[in-house]
Amino acid sequence: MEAELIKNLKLRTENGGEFINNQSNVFQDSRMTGIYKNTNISDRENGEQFYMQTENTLTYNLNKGIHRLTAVGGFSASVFNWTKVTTQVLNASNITQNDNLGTGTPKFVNSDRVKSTLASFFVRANYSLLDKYLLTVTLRADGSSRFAKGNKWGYFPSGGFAWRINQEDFLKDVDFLDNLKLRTSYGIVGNQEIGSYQSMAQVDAASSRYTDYVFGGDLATGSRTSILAQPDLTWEKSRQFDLGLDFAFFNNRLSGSIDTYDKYTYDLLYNVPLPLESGYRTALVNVGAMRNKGFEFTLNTVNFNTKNFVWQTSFTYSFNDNEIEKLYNGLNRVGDYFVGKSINVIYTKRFGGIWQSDEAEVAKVYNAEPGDYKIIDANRNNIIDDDDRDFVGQTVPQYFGSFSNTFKLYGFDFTVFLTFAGGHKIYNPFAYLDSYSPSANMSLDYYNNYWTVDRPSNKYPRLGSTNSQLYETDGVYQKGDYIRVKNVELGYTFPHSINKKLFVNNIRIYASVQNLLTFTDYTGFDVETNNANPYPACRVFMGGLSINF
Amino acid sequence: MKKILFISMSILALTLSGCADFLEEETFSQLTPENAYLTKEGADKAMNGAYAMLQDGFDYKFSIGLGILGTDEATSYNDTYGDHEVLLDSYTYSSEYDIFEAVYLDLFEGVKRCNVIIDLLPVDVEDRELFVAQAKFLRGVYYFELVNLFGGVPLWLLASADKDNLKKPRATVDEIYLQIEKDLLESEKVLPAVNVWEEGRATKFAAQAMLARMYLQQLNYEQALKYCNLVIGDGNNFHLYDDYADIYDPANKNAGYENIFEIQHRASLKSEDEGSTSTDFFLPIELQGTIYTGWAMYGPTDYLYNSYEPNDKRKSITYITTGVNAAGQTVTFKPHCFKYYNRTAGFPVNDGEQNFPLIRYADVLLMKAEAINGLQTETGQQTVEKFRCLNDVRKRAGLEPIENIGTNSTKQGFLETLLEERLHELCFEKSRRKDLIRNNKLQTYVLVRKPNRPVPDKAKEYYPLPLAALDANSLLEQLAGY
Repeated sequence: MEAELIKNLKLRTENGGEFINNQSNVFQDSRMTGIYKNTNISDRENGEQFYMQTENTLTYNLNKGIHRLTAVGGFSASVFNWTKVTTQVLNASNITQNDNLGTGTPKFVNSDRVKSTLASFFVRANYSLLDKYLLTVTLRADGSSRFAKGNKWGYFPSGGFAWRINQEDFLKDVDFLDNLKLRTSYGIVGNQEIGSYQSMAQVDAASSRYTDYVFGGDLATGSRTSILAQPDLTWEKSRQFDLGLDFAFFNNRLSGSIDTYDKYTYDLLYNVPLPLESGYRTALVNVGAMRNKGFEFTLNTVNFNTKNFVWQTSFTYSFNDNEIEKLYNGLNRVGDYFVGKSINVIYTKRFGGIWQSDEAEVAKVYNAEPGDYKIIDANRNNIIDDDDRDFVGQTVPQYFGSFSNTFKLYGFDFTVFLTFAGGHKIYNPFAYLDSYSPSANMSLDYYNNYWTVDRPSNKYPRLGSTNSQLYETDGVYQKGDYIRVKNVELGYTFPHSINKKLFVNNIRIYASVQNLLTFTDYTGFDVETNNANPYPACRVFMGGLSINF
Repeated sequence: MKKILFISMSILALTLSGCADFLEEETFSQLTPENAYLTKEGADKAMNGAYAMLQDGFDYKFSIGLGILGTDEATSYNDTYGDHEVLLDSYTYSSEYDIFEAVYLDLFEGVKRCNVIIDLLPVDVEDRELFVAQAKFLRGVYYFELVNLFGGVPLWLLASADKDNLKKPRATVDEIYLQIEKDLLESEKVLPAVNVWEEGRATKFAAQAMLARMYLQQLNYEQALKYCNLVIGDGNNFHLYDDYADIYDPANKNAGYENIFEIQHRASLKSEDEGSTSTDFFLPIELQGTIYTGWAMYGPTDYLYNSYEPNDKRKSITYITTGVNAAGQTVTFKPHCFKYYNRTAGFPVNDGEQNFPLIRYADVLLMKAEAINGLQTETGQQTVEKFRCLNDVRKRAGLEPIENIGTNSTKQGFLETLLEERLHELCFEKSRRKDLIRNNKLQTYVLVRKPNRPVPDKAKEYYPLPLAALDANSLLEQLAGY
C-alpha cells in the first residue's frame, strides 16, 4: 500500500507472509532389507513453517535544479515460526501402511517448535548532483531474537559514492566513450545465521543412553544441561571496501567492469572448545577475524556487427584470496585453522611416490619395502607422524570464470559457453580404490600399472602392500583446474516471410549439448564439486522448437 | 510537515517500546535451567541424568580397562584389536590416548549433572533434600574416581559458570579428598538406610561404605574402621551370599543382601544402550559367533590365574577356559573372566542384564581387616577381629581359615595375605590398582608377577591428563613424568 501524504512524501507499507506445510511419508516393507530385519518401518514427518513480514517506509523526494534527493526511513519486522512432528512406527500393517500407524508399535515420537524474530530500522539517502556525482548513505539497526538482552542490536552504516566521469565537460566530446563510471563504497554488514536459542542455557531431556538410567528395573529417562548460556553472543560483522569501474566504448561494442574488494569479517560466530572440566565441550562465541580480498573482471565485446553476421564475446574472471587473521586466545592454530592461511587450506603429509628397488634400505627405516607408498619425512626424524604435515593447497578455487561466444549468421545462431576454475585441489580417494589389496576391486589403470620389480611405477604400489597411509597424504588430492564446455547451442530463426504465412511472430528451432567436454587432470566424477562422491554432472542433449504468436 | 513528522515519530517510538518484547526469544520445545527444575519430575530427570554417567564412567568396557590393566591382576590379551589395552598394560600410552579423554569427560559430565542438582534446584521442590543428598553422594563417587585416576583435578562445585573464570587450575589431591569427605558425610546424614524410592538409589550404607573406602585409600585407618563398623552394624545389615556367583546374578539385582551399591543396567534389545557392556572385552575371541561373542581385550595375568588355592570355589565361577565354537567344535583357550556373563535377555552383544557391584559387603569386611591391621603394632588386641573378617570371606570361597601363626602373625605378613584375598575376591571389580597403590605394592608386585611387562615408576600411578583437557585449559599442568 502506498499513499502520498503531502507532496513528495510517500508512506508505503508492504506486508507479506509465507506458509509452508511439508509432509514426508516413508514406508519400508519388511521384505526390503532395512536396518531392522523382518520389520516394516514407517517414518512420518509433518512440518509447518510460517513466516510473516512487514516493511513500512516514508520516502521523501526532492528535485530542485541540479539537486536530486531521495530519503527513505522506515522499519521492518519479521517473525519465523517452525514446528515439526516426527514419528517412527515398527510393524505397521502392510495393507494400510502409514495411514494407520496404530497397527504397529511406536519406536519414537518427537516434536520441536522454534520461533525467531528480526526487527530493523533504517534511513537511506540518495543524493545526486548534476547527475554526475552520486552519493548514498545508509544507516541501519538490526535486532535479532537470537541474541541475549543487551546484545540483540547491531548497527550497520554504509556509504557509497559514484562518479559518472563521461558526463564531465572535458570528456563530453570524446565520441568513442559511452560510459565511464567510478564506484566506491564502504560499509558494515551483519550476520546472525546461528540458529535459535544459542545464547541461552539449555537442558537436554531427550531420551538417550547418555542421559537415561535404570531404577527398579525400569528405564528412568534423564536430562542434562547441554549448552552454557552465552549472554555476550552478538552479531558477526564484516567491513567491506569496494572500488569499481564501469566502462563502455565504441557504441557499446566494448564494455565491462572491474571490481576490487577487501572484506574484513570479525567477531566471527564460532564454536570454541571449553575446559573439559566444565562438562561442556564447546561454546558458540564471537571470536577471530578473517579477510577476503579479490577482484572481478567482466568484458563484453561485439567483434563483428554486420547485417548478416554478428559475433559477440563475453568474458568473466574472479579471483579471491582468503586468510584467517585472528583465532582466539592468541592461538595461531585451532584444529585445521591456521592464522595466515585460508580457511580452506589442506594440511596433510606429502605423498612421495613409491619406494623403488634401489631405495630398499631407506624404506626399511619407515617399515616399508620397495613397492610401498613413500610418505615424505618432512622433519627428517625417521618417523612418519603428524609433525610431517605441511600446507599442500586449498579446497576451493582461487579463481574462476567463464568465456562465451555467440555467432549469428543470417537466421542461424551458434553459442559456445565455457567455464573454468583453478588453483585448488579436490579430494579423490576413488582414484586409488583399495588398490593395494589383492582381494578388493581395483581400477583397470591400477591393474595395468601397479608396481613390480620389473615394472616400477611411481603411482601405484605393489600388490598386497599393506601400507595404506596414502589416505593421510596429499596423494588423495588432485589438482582441480579445469575448462569445461558447459553449453553449445545451434539455432535457426525462420525469416519473417515464413512467419507471416503461418500467422506467427517468431519461430526458432534449436539443438544444444550441455557439459560436452571437460579439460582437466582430475580423474574423479565431477570436477565442479568439492564432494568426493557426487552425482556426476550429466551430459544433456536437447532439441527444441519455440514459437511466439 | 511538522505534524506528519510528529506522527511518524510517535509510531516509531511505539514500535521501539514494543520491540523489547518482540525480540524476546520465546522458548517452546526448549528446556532451560529456569524451567526444567521447577517440579519434582524435572528434578527427578536431572537426578537420573546424574546417575547415568556411572554407566559410562565406571563399568563401560573401556573404563574397566583403566581400572584393571597395568597391575598383577589383568593384562591385555588381544594385541591385534586391543591396541588401547596394550598401551595401558605396558604403560606406553600418551596423553593423546582417547580413553583418558573419554573417561575424563564422562566423570566431569557426572560432576556437572550433580552440581546442577545441588546448585539449581529451587528450595520449594518436593524432596529437595533427598535429591541433593544423592547428588552429593554421586559427586563424591565421581571425584573419588577422578582423583585416583588423574590425581588433583580442577574442582568444579557450582552449576553456574562464570565465563571469565571457566579455567580452573588443578586442586591438590588433599583438597579433592576434603571435598569428597564433605560431600559423602553430608549425604550420609540425609540418605535413608532403606531406599524409600525405587531400587538402585544411593542409601546411607552406600555413603558409609564409600566413606570407608575413601578413608582407607588415604590410610586413615581409624575413620575407615569407624565407617566399616557402621556398615556392618550388628551383622544383620548385609550378608555374604553362600554362592559367589549370586553376587553377579541379575536375579539378585538390588536385593541389598551383599551388594551395597550397584550400577544399574537392563537389557534394551540394542547394543550399548542401557544394557551392560562389561563382558564384551572379557569374553574369549575363540567363541566369536556364538552367544559368548566377545573381543578378549583383557584377562587375568598368569600370576592371578595360577595363584588360587586348590579348593577356591571362586576360580571356576570367575573364569571360562573352554567352550563350543561357532563351528560346533569344543575348544580350549587361555582363561577369560566370566563372572559377569549373563545371557538371560537382550541383544547378543553389549546388552547385558547384569548390574555392576560398585561396592559390596565382602569388600567392606576386607577393608575392615585392612584398617585394623593398619592401626596395629606387631601384636595388637584386635587381632582376632581382623582374622574373623578375612576368614568370613574365605569361608564362602570354601577355604580354610587363616591362623594367627607364622608370617600371618606379623603386620606385614597379614597385609600380604589380605591383599591376595582381595585379589581373588574382587578381581575385575576395579579395586586392584587402588589396593596396590595405597599399600605401595604396585611396583614390587608387577616386577615379580608380570615378567613380560615393564614396571611403572611412581609417577605413573596416575594417568596423564588428556591432551584435549590441556589444550582447552591453559591453567592445567601435566604431571611431572609425563
